[in-house]
Amino acid sequence: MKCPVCNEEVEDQRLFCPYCSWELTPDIGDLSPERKALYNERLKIARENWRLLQEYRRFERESLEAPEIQRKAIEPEKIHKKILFCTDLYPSSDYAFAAALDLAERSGAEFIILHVLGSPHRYSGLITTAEGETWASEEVYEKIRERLKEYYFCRIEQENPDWVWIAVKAGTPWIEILRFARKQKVDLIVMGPYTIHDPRLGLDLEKPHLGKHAQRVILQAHCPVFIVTSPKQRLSFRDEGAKST
Amino acid sequence: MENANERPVDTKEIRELLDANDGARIRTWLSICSRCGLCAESCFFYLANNKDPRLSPAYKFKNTLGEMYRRKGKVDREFLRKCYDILWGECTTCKRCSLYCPFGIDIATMISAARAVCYSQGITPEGLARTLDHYREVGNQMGISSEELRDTCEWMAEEAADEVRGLEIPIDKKGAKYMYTINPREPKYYPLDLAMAAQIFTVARESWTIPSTGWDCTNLPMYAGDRALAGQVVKSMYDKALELGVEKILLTECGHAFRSAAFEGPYFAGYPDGKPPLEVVHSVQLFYEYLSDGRIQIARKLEEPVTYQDPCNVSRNGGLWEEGRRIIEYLAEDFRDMSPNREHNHCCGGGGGYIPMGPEFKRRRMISGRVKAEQIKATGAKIVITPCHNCYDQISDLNEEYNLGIKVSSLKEIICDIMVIPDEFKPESQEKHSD
Repeated sequence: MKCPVCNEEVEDQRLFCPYCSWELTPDIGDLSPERKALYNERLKIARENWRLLQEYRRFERESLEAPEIQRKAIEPEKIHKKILFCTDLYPSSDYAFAAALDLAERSGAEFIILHVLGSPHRYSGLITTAEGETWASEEVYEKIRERLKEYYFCRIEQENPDWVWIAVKAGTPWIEILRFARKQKVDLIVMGPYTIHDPRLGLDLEKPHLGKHAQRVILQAHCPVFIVTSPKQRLSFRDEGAKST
Repeated sequence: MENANERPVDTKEIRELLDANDGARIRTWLSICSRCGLCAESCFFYLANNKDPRLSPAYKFKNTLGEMYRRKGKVDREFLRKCYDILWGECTTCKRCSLYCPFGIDIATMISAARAVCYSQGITPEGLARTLDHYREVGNQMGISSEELRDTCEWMAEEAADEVRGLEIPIDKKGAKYMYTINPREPKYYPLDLAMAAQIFTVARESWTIPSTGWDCTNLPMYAGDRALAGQVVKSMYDKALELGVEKILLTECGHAFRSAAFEGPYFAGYPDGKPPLEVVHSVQLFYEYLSDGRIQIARKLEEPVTYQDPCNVSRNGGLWEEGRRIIEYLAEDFRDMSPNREHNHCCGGGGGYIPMGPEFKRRRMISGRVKAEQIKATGAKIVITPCHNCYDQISDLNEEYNLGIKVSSLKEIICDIMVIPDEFKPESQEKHSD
């Protein structure tokens, strides 16, 4: 079958498209008119997001080739030995992933993808999954690990990269991120600024805002933290810089 | 519930358990109850479920333990399954009904005895059962190793030292005044609780230590019906305190820890007089002492309306309702008590093992919690302070379920937020700034 978002040929049994991570829904015909309308809306957004991501990647490639941007000083050195990318499993982390991966590839760092299954409680440790409230068991962790692998590994050029690994934890996200980063002695944390739960808003990270978890991680992490927003924000920043010089 | 365990019911074992409990107290309670119904109106399960008579405490004990005695232990699995539903799903053993019974029948004790019978036949909620192996193997309900605890303490000491200079979290310090025991859910899910405790103790210049073993003050086997393990849990705490030569055992802000360590656990641990080998102090007592003695000074009082949730095992069963209120007077300008309050306050619906019992019981927990939600709403408070982790999580859930628009907080959180940090404890950067 062809992926409706990126148009690449995908094997039928796949849950996610290995090129653009679109969640493949084979039985669209069974959907009610309401759900179908929602599906179409999501599809439209995903296509637009995919187009933007391609544009971003093109921009990245062009920037690399452009002679005025000097990256030589960074390239041969392994500046960051361990990079921790924290994902909320929403597209709002996609830019952060692209940036974290890029950094890891350039610096030859170990790359960890971490997701924390958030608990609605402070102390009980119960988590909420698609099936409802449950305990964080190895079974749940394994399911999420598989999902993360499907979602992110297709974006890494190298097949089965041994420098990338996935971790899943449960609890209050910012606490578990800090605990994990400290235990693993990571050199850098990369994450998105906040979660956009509504898939219709996709990657619209232009609002200058930091979510609770990003704030606490920035304030309390023992290592540098990169918060990656929309490339549009970055472009405007560059423009401002150009004007001032 | 343990579905896999379908072995035939061991009626001999049940009979033995019933005989062991067949003292004057239970025999009198079972025979003296005149079904007057006064206990019904005291039970929040009854009140929240359209006054269903099957939820009156008298009905609950009569149809569980009462029936077990009537049948002389000859019960089948189907009967025990029905009991399971009543014993764990319709009672938090909060003991409010005992307060209203004209004969003073302690219904919660009978419910606990019936839970022990069910447990002996492999019937107990999954959420409680899954913690029991951890208690047996590692000595705490979350299976946290001593190394993990040390590491978390080190981490939290680093974090808290940014707020209070010279702060340390001493481990296994012999001869300290207080051995501070905690709920394993703190290091596991909310380690900041440890950091906050360390800040308060440092500012109060307290002599304290966290033990590397016997540090879990919770006791879920007590609610699961495993009395032998419940005794082992309390005993390992007492033994460690005696080994370290501390003066007193201090408990974190946990309700049932007080019930276990101070007044119910000693019996399980084999102390026939029901008294622990050394004094057990709850955080509520110590914080009150700090504030009244001026060891902790408050910089500014909370202005938002505040109410206080009495954890059943701290207030009604532990007798600390006045201390809780005096603390709030130090912390808040606008205190609005719930009605009813103090020892008459209702259980939040998360006690008796209910919160750890997990998703299977969530719906019922939300329905029965309506009584607490209405009490909170009626106060108009914006902050609910409670010195119990189960109350905290339950009221957070009720906040969502009933749109209460409140913030739930522990005492530590509020105290840390508004206490005066004396100059000698101010972090260097702040000190320079204030200069």
